[in-house]
This record gives sequence, structure tokens and C-alpha cells, in this order.
Amino acid sequence: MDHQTLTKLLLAVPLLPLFSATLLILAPLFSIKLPKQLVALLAVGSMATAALCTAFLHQGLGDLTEPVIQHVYGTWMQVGSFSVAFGFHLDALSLVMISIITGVGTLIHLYSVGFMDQDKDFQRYFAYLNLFVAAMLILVLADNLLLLFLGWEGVGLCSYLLIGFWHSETNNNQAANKAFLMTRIGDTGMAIGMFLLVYQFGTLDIQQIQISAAELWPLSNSSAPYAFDMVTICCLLLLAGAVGKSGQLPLQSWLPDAMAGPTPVSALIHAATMVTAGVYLIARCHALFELSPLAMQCVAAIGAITLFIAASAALVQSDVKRILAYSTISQIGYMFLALGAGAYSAAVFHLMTHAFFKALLFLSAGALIYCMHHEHNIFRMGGLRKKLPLVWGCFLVGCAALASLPLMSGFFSKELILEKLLDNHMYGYWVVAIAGAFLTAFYSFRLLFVIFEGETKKEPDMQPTKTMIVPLSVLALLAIFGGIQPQGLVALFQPTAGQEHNIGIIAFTIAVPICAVLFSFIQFKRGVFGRELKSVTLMRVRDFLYSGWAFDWFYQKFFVKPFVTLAESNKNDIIDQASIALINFSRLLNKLFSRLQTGSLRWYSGSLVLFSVAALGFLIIT
Amino acid sequence: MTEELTLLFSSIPNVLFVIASAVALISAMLTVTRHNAVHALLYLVITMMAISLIFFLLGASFAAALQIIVYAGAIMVLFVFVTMMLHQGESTIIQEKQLYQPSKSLGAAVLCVILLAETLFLLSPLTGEEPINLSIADTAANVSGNIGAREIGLTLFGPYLLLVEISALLLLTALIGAFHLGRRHQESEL
Amino acid sequence: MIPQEFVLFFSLALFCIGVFGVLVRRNLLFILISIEIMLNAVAVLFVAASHYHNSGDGQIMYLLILTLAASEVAVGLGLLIQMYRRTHTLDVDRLSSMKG
Repeated sequence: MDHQTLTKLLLAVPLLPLFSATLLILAPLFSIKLPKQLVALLAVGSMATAALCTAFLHQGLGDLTEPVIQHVYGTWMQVGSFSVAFGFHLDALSLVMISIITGVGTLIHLYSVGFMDQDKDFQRYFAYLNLFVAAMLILVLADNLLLLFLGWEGVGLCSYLLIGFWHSETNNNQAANKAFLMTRIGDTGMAIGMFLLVYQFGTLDIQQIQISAAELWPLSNSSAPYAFDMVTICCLLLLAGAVGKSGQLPLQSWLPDAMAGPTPVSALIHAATMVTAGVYLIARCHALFELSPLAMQCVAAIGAITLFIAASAALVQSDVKRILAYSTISQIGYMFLALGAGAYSAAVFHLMTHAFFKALLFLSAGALIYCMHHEHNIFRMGGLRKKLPLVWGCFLVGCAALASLPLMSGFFSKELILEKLLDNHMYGYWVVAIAGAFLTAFYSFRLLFVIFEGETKKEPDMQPTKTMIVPLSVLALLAIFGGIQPQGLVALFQPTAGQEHNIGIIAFTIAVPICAVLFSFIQFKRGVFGRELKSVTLMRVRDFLYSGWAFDWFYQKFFVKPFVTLAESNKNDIIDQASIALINFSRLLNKLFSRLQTGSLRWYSGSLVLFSVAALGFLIIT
Repeated sequence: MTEELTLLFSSIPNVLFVIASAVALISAMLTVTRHNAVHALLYLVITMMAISLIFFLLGASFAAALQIIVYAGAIMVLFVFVTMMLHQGESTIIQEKQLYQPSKSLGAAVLCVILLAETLFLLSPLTGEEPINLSIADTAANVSGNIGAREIGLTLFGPYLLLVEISALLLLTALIGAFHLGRRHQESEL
Repeated sequence: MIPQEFVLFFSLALFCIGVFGVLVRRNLLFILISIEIMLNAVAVLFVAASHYHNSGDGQIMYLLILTLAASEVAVGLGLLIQMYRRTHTLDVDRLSSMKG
């Protein structure tokens, strides 16, 4: 394929879903009623076509000598010497991302046709979903930070719209607001980081920035490796944006609440795509981050702490979607940890496998909820293995991949991360990662056992529909066989020299999840899960973990309440006072001057004479 | 100071002027301080006579004649008639005694004295500024400055022809206004 | 010629007496009388000006002042009578309904 066709295909990939979203949004404005089949065809069809284009691009990229396509489609703005273009940059990293987005996205769209069949806002749902995919594609294809930020904000908007999709319930609106505001905080940091970068380099083109940064801030083996200089500040600000969008510490508490949206939305946005935008950003700007060892340490530290906190919180949850949400936070923590260790290909590989098995888990949870007549609490389900065999099968595959049991896709990616940590001598982080792996396997199989083993507490109403079964099966296959490492990724990021590892350590890392699964099975048989706790301290610990380490309480007490009190006390604020003072002053003048209107003739003639005397006196003096 | 006094009494017109102005000022003072309206009016008539004399001394015989005929003869008569309508004798005088008490007029007196001083200071040649700017031809000793009726007539029929019409219009307006304002209305009083 | 300072002093003094009368009296009739005094003072000034400039313009102005005084007195006395009919007193302080 020649360059022209490739660039046209590249442009088609985000524009197809955007076109379909526009049609679906504008149709009601012109009072055109589209039948449900047409809406579904449009939505799923645009996604499938985009996926097809991606496949062609994959083929075409392989043919090129250097697997990079860069094309500028027009100028967005030009101010003096600063110009921003609509340019797309396709390399192995963005190819992986768009494959995930279009591939998994198509499957989720297909699933949604069945899931949202009875919903009256069918068209609106697909409009928002397509808009989301278009924004996400722009985000990963952008060649400059401003276009990336456009996609960034677009996905934030669509996330807000989709979390609060069933907007007649106040809880959903509050969850959507919370998500939007918390990611906003991160976005502000990112914007400031972009301002600093423009100030330093005069451009926002990513490749250009990385080249100029290497010249301006050379990495030296000086005595102060963890210096807090300008490059660190820029990187930390970009990290702030990534942290907000990906739900890491300290901006992680919006993700569990975002489960108020429809389940396919949780699958697409909060498992496979949007929350990985932060990982993508850091991976894309990795050359910039490498110039600041302090920033890298921060990334790794944030990843490690988040992973542990989220995994421990997932141990005691009772809502199936919340368990999966905390699990997502924890797995993205793994990706951040990998990025902080410099293992970019490992991080992106884990991103890919996580997209597969997490989407599988969410969609199966959706099928489960659908069949159990909208029941979310796992302790009200049980023994569904024989009753919902397909759902059980998908959950089994998904949980196995999540726990990184051997030969699943999750196994390969997580093992790679652990290996890279050892290679970089980050032993403390390795210990945390191992502990996290133990907890992950434990809670994922807790989920499986509580729902599908034991005695049946509630009977399922219906079986999953065909439009649900097909995507689930495809994703299950991917979750098992998706562990094949894409070669292009490895070539893109210089691989660190692989060292020979102690066979014992490798055996240990494999054995940890298996032991955790067995431990979980034993605890299940003893009836530990869901049991009422006797001791008060244990109950306190349980509540603490349940609330996600009490972050919400903390934010409420130390940020929200003071701000609200400040705003209330400032109701009659200074600026108000200034304008009121103006009003009061003119009222005062009015009162004074109206006293001069006494209505008495002698007063008027007297004031006349008095004033003329004064005026004449003034004339004499000057 | 002595120089001015000698100037004051240097010639007969000057002496006459001093006498006439003294009369005018004193009777004006008396006008504004009487309680009885009729007395005040009579003193006003004397003031006008004195002013008429001053006009004669200034060589303005036409103006002097008009002063007596129109001002003292018509306008003051109008005042007297109206006073006649409203004046109820003793009760009005007692009322007036309440309305005007000389002890209460100190502030106004001070104000007027200040006004006088200021205007004198500003307008007077005594401050060292130039006297009224007379054209060179008029400063000759034999210019008398007596403007008689003939000259006034010529001026009125010449450049100031329109002025005559305007003053006629003014009088017409005043006539209609006074007629309307003086009417007794049929409806009940507000 | 009579020296200018004398006439000026006389005219201004008469004017100030008129002003004094307007400020001090509460009876409307006396206020009107004081206004007449003021008009007269100004008339003296104009006529003196015509004398010193040796032209008839000042006396023409005096003629106008006369016309004005006449019309003003007519209208003013008409208003005076109306006031007396309505309030049965000539006290000007009673007329304060235009207050505020």
C-alpha cells in the first residue's frame, strides 16, 4: 500500500465513529426518528469498519522499512511562531492502542445492542459511546500535546455523560460529577505542564519536544540524580494529569463510584480505554520522563502504593462491579510501576492483556446482572455454576487471567513486569508487586467462588442473549491466547538487557498466585467470606478497607468542607461589598441633596446669595 | 482719603449727587425694615424720586422722566392698590411684627456687607485696575455725556427697532398672564 | 462728570440693600418690593454706563428694564393675590409643599 492510502486509512479510523456519533446526535434535533436496527447498524458498523481499517494499517505498517506513519492533515491554529496542526502519528505504540480500542470497542458495541435493548435511550447511548471512541482515537493518534488534550477532554466529557446516563437518579449524577471534577484536577496540572513546555520549547509536537528536551536538559550522572529541576516539574505536572485520568493515588476514588453507569460503559471506559490514557501519555513521552529520575521514581511509587491499596480494598467489597473497579485501579498501578521502572513495553503489553480480560470480566458481570434481574451483591448469589454455565466459563477465564495463573495472557504480562523490576534492582517494589499479586489472585477467586459455588440463594431469570454471547466468547479466547508479545512494541522501546534470573525466583513468582487461589478456596470452604465479624477491631479494619482506605472521608473533611465553609462565609464578599458600597454612596448623596429641597423660598434665595458670595470670594482669591 | 473728600464736594453736581444718593440709600433702608406695608411703599416712592434726580445729574433726562412717569407713577400705584386690597389694618401690622424681627437678621446683614465689599473690590477702579475704557474721542473735556430724548428716539427708530416690538410682545404676555392669574375661579379652591 | 466711583458705590449699595430685604422678610409683598429696589439699582448702573460711554445704548437697556419690571410686577402681584385667596396669609414659609 502506498503512503496516500495509508494516510487516508489513518484519517478514517477516528472519523468513522465521529461521523456516526454526529448523525446519532443530530437526528433528534431535526426530528428524524431512526429505527433501532439502523442505530445499531450505524454504531456497530462504524466501529467494525474502523477496526477493519486498523487491520489494514497493521498490514501496511509491516511493509514499511521504518514502521512509522506521520501525516499532518491541516493547521489548527497559528499564533506568531507557535503553531498547532491536526497531525496523526502512527507507530507501534499507537497501533496497539487503536487495535485495542477498535477491536474491543466493536465487541462491546455488539454486546451493548443486546444489553441496552430494553432501554428507551438506545440512540443517545450509542451516540455517546461512538463519540467516546472517536475522542479516544484522537487522543492516541495525536502527534502534538494539544490535540492529545482535545481527545483527553473529549473522553472526560463522554465519561461524564455515560456515567450519568440514567440521570433521573441523583446518585448517578453525583457519581458523574465526582468523576468529572477529580479528573479535572488532574487535567489542570497537565495543562500547566503543557504551558511550561510551550514556554520552554515553543512547540507542543511530541517528537520535537523529546528531541529538544534531550538537548536542553541532558541526563548527567551527576551527584544529584534526584534533582528537582524544570524537567521534573514538567514531568510531575503531566503525571498529575495521568494520575487523574487513570484513577491512581491520590485521585482514585472516582472510579468505584463510576460503576453507576451501564456495565458495557464500565467495560469500555473504565477498564479498557479511558483509564489507560494516563499510561499511554507517559509511555508516549517516555523520552521526556527519562530525563528526570525523580519523576520516574514518583511514577513507580504511585503505582506501587495504589496497587496495594486497591487490592486490599477489593478484598472486602460485596458489589461485583466495585470489586472489578478496585481491581482495575490495582492493575493500572502495575502498569505505572512498570513505567516507573523503565519497562515501557512490559507496561503496554500488560495494558493490552488487561483490556482483554477486564473487558471480559465486566461484560460477564453485565451478563450476570442482566440474568439475575439487576442484582449486584455477590452475597445474594451463589451456586450458579450449573445454572449459568457460559457466564461461569467466562468468569473463570477472566479471573484466571487476572490472577496471572500460568499460560493465561495475564500471566505473561505480569511476569514480564516482575522480571523487569528485578532487572532494574527495584527490590522493594518487587516485594510490593508480589504481595499485590497474592492479593489479586485471592480476591479474584473469592469473587468466583462466592458467586458460582455453594448453595443457590437466588435463581437466575433468564439466560444471556446471542448478542452477548458472541463478544464474550471472542474476548475469552483473547484472554487466553492474547499473551503473544507484539514484536513491534519491543523494537520501539529499547529493551533493557535481560539478565539471567535465578530459577528459584521464577518458580516463586509462578507459585504465588497458585497458592493464593488455594488459600482462597480454603477460606471459602470455611465460610470466611461474607461472615459477620465478631471482634470490633476486625470490623473497623473491614470498614476501613471497604471505604477504599477512607479517602472519601478524608477529602470530604479536609477539602470539601473547608471550601464550602469558606464559600458560605464569603457570601457577602469584597467585590459584592464594593458594588453595594457604590449603591449606598449614591443613596447617601441622594439623601443629602434632597435635604436641600426644603420647599422654602427664603432658603432658596438665601442659598443663591450665599453661593454668589462664595463664588465672588473665590474669584477674588485666585 | 482727604483727596476723595475734596473731590466729593468739588462741584455742585457732585454735592447734589451725594445728597440724592444719601436720600435714596436711607429711604431704601427704611423701606425694607418697616412693619407697615403702606409706609414701606411710600419710602420706596421717595427712593425712586431720588434715583430720578440722579438720572438728571447723569444727563439722562429721558430716563429720569420715564422713571417718574412709569416707575413711580404706574408701578408703585399698582403696588398701592394691591396693598389696599390685602391690608387689614392693625392686625396685619401685628402679624408683620411677628414675621420680621430685626434682631434675627444679623446673618443676612453680614452676608450683604460681604457681598458689597466683594463686588466693590472686583468692579472698582480703586483697586488699581484701569477705569472704564473710554474711547479716545470721548475723553475730551467738552464731552458732556448728556443724552437727550432726541437721541434716544433716533436710536429706537434706527438700530433698536426690533427691540420695540419685542418689548410690546413682552407687555402683551404680561397682560394676558396677569389677567389669567388674577381671575377668581368658579370651582372650589384647592 | 460725576466720578465713576461714586455711582458704582451707590448702585452696589442699593443692590445690597435689596438683597438684604429679599433674605430677611417673610411677607411676600415685601420681597417683591425688595426686588424692585434691586432692579432700580441695576437701572442706575446702566444709565451711568450710557453717560460715561456717551451713547444711548444704556438708556435703551433701561427702557427694557422698565418694561420688564412692569410686567413682572403685574404677574407677581397676581400671584400674590392668588396666594392670599388660598392661604389667607402672605407668609412665604407656608408655601412649602414642593419639599423633598
